[in-house]
Amino acid sequence: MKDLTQEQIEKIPHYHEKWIKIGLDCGECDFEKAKEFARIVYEQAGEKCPDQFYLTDSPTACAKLAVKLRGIEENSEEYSSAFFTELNNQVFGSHESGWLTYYEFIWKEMGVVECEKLQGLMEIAKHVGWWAPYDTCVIFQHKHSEIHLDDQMRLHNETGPAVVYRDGTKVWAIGGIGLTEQIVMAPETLTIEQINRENNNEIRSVMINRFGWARYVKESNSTLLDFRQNDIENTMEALYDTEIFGKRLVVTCPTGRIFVLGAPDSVQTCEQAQAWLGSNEDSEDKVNVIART
Amino acid sequence: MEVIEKMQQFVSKVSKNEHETVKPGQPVRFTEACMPGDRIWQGDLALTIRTSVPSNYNLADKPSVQLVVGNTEGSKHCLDSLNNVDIYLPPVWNAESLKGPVLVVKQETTVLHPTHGDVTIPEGFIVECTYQKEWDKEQAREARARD
Repeated sequence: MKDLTQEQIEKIPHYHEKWIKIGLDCGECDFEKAKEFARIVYEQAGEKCPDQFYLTDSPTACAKLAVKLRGIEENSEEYSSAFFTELNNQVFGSHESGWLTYYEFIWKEMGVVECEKLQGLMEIAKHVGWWAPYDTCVIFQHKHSEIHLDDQMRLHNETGPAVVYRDGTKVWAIGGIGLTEQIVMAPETLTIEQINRENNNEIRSVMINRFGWARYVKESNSTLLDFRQNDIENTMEALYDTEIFGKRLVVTCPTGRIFVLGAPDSVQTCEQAQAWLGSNEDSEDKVNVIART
Repeated sequence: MEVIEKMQQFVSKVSKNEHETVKPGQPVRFTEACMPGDRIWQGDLALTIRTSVPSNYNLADKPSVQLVVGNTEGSKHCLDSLNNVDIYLPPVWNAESLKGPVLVVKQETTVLHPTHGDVTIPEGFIVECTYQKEWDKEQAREARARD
């Protein structure tokens, strides 16, 4: 097979919508259905399904229960490591929808029968949040009770948690990047040291955007390379060299705001930085900025 | 006074409408004397006078008044009407594009925006819409290309 038929192509949006709905569903776990389809998952994996089933509210509650069932005390030295092991052992249930949609499509619409082995996972995704299948028991979870996304369907909430579970467990994210509560809810309390210490570039970028670039260049003692009052564009511009983030042009806007724009390392002046920011045309006409509003 | 403080003082005056010359949302206009290459920035949308429509651009089948892709308030750079302008689109035009529509203005047209000032283009001009580059996105793009 080389190409999809028109009929198959027309069915893609149906699968897309169906599985997005499953992935975003905030409903409670259907415990009976969960047990029924867990047995199918074990069977399809060639394993024996245990008789012991539990239901919890969140991934953290599930991991805590799994650690407790292993007989590990909460105050013991091995607790933390065991907790994260159990957190990582979980299956994503309704949050597996991103890839299950693909396999259901190629199974049901393209006749790839091997995908039938995923039927149990497809069914259980409709009724369960994350879950943890063990040899001796199965721990299910309710689905999240709240979820917030941006227009690109990434976890996103600038004023609260992006995901909330029934027991109050919260996940913080902006633009799909997992963050701490402090970065989302109290960025003004971040310190230059905290920002500079963060190793993940994406997280660090969000931190500094929320902390405020103008404040960052001021408090981090970044080096001022150039400053000009641009009377044509009615702006004030300052080019800084920051230790961690390279060159940044801090520029006022005629709407009364300050923006901080990244620039390549080669620029040395505000004029060069502005020229780079606007240089994306093929035309040979020399650009002459006559105003900004 | 430190540069940043000077800038903060400047924007504070502008936003309170206390600055003598810089007023938020001030409308601007290309004059009839404008030449190819003359550019007005409306926020991060650059409107630049051109001599012709690039050969790989096509007349839009379903033209939209909005000149920037997106649903945010910042992306609402919109023509006041579709009646006075022919809109040509680049081969690819999406949220990642640095090049947008080219406008062939048949009668005076204004590009509106909720925050920035309106930009009026007189009849007879060809105007290219391009977007301000973002260093962090450029780097991410380069990183993706490397991967």
